[in-house]
Amino acid sequence: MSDQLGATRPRRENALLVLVRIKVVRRMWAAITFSSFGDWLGLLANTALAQHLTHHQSVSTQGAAISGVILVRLAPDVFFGPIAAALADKFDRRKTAIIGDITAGLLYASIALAYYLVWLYIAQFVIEAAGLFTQPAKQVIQVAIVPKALLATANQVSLFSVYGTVPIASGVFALLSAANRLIDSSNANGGADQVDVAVIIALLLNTVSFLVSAATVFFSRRDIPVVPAEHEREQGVFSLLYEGVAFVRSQPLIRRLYVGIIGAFAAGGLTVGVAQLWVATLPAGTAGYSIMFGTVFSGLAVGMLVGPRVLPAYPRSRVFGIAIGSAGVALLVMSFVRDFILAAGFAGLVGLFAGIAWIIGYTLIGQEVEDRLRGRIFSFVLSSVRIMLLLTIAAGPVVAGALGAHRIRINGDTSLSLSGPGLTLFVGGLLALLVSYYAASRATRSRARIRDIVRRHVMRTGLPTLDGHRGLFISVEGVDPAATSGYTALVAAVVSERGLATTVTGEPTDSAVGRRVAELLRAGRSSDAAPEAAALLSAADRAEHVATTIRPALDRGEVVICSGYVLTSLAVHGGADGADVPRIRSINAWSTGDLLPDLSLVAAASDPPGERPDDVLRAALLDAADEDLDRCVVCPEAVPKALPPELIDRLRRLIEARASSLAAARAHRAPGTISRAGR
Amino acid sequence: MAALFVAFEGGEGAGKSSQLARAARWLRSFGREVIETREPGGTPLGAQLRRLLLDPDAQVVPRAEALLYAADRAQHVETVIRPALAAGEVVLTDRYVDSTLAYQGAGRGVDGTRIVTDWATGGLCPDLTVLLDLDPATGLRRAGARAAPDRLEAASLAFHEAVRAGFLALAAEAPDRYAVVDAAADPDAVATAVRAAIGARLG
Repeated sequence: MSDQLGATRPRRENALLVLVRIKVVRRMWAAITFSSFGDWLGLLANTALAQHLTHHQSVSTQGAAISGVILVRLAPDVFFGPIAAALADKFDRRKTAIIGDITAGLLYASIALAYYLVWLYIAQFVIEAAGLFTQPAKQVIQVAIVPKALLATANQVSLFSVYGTVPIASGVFALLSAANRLIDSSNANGGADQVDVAVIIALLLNTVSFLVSAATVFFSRRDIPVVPAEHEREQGVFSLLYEGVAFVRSQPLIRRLYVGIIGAFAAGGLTVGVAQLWVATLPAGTAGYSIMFGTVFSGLAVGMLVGPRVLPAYPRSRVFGIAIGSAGVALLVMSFVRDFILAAGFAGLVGLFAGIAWIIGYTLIGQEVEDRLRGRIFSFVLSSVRIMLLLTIAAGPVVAGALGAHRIRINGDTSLSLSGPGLTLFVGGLLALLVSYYAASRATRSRARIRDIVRRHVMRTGLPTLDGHRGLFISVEGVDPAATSGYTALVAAVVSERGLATTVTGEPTDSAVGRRVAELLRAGRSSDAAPEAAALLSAADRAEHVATTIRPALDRGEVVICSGYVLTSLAVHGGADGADVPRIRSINAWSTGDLLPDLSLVAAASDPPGERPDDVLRAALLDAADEDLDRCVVCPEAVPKALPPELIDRLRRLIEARASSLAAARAHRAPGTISRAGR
Repeated sequence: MAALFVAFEGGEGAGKSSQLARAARWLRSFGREVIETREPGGTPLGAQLRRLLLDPDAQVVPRAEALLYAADRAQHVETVIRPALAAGEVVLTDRYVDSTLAYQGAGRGVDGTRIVTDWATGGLCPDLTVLLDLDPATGLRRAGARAAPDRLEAASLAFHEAVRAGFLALAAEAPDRYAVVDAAADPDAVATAVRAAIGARLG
């Protein structure tokens, strides 16, 4: 027999392979990849078109035209994001995805046909607005078709399709532009007023990619469930930002990571934003812009891949700061370079370091933020990154126009000339260095430190912990039913006297599982079920109890009084039956999601144990309580008449500390009555 | 003679029970002592839990479900499997740890199901796991022809796709302890493949 099952977790490669085996998942990836490719190609084509349509005018007008394209892309998300997310839930996701993609495809074609700046903006705006519906729809479809355990991998892969298509799109666009220039130069009529064929072909290619995406969803429609699995509700951008800012501000380490990530992307965004104008100052043309765009994003992708393995001996938080600083230095050097190839190389380096910073920062935030908040904090970070990226891309050209060209004189003869776009890059580099300094200054704090800060904060204000609930959880532990029920009633009386909403409950519960568990355990006591099996049965009942009764009541701000909880199990299954106590603890931590009582009343006579079987149980209970002394009050009366003063005192202090979050008993209830839980 | 522990795993309608019975007949034909058992329900306690677990009306939260299976398994390992193996017999079980990992872990997305299964088995791992792999649509059609669906069988196709993916991922993790058999094939062909896999481990 091999005893090796266990410690190894499923590896990522397997998860990927497994996902690829599911046909509908494969198809949805294809759809996402096609529409992402179209999206990026559209960005390139539209910015190039905006520049082409204004190329008679000044650099700052050209800049404004390019920024306009990007702002128009950003606007729908900021203004209509929340509404769209709410509306998107009301429609059939498959139809939303299909219609949205067809609309986007046709609009791209119309931009090519109209070849007119105002229509470009209007169409781009509508395309983005449609995207507000199709993207969440595709996400929801993904959640519904991908096994939950593999969702993280699936998200990674779709993120990869979204950003991985950037180099492909820019490559395609560069090829088209290069071909166009060749034709142009061989064509005698090739003048400035001529239509940019590359842009038109790119836009039409775009149409095709969106139509393919729509078709993919259409052909898979039968494999996609109409009613999606439960998913996290999309939050509006503003409420997300508000909540995120509040959290990030309260956590020093997270704050530095966040500023670092956003700063890295701001520097990257400036680079991409002025690339078009800056490349125009170098001899390279439209193809050059597209190559620049491609190198930055390729660098970004490589950085994300190698980031976790860079400088393995250094703490990640140090590498994080170093990477941002390096991105800044690369940007500074790049601003002085006058050679296109060299410039493209440095652009790639900027992307590379930004990618390393991004993946490390992202991972660190994942480690520092607890499960419950992680999803929201991540979407906050992602939204911020998106907004920052688009804002800096948009701001770049405007800043470049405003700064204008300058010449720095060194030693009379030698001089350095800096164009407006070059100066903007310089500013971006300085910004990155500043951010790097800020991030590195404190990014080395340990995890324990944060926990301590939180704990101190909680103790001072008396608020429940971050993972916590609004209520108060009191367990009455004991092996003698008469004593525990007596004490439970006494505690309930004290709590309801104060007019607080109360739930009195107990284990084994009155649920289908609980009744069966009680039956099985009663019937056999320790003879029928193996000790481990018995401990697992009560843990099962407890999992159900916590999920359906205790947690909801605590979340409503009620005081929950539960007779029989983890300590009782430890005493019965561990001490008396001989199952392994630490393992019962870990199983129960899992079954309750780490929910522990704020206060435990241990009903056990404190006199030394004798020979009777009850005494073994009682001794085991006291042993279990010993390990949790700061939570437990031992109450020794066999027939309880009153609560010990120590317990009343502890209870009073707890109630006062939580006074602001505890719910009052509902008015129509006469004082002293208690809601009965445990169905 | 050396004991051998073989688990039969797979989705609904993959033919686990009948293939297990055929394998048992084959092993007995040359004189091996064979215990045929199953999860849930291989013990008196388990039989009661099985009724509870497969009752479509008694819905429990995923963690509770995983723990109930684990309780059944702990009892099963303690009172049936370990004693039989100690006596040098061949134990064939219809479902084991992998079912929890695939159904509750991969299917229902419960984290940490390994903690529970490890504890329930005390680390006892099959020498061979026969994974009868079948497209869920086919499997459910077969199972549907048999009787009214129980709770697990009634879950959505997407759920069963996830379960299948979960099983295959487990097999990919330790290929030498698994025999993945295409259960869509002719039952006789499946039986031959199963016999070959078991035979290779009989020594």
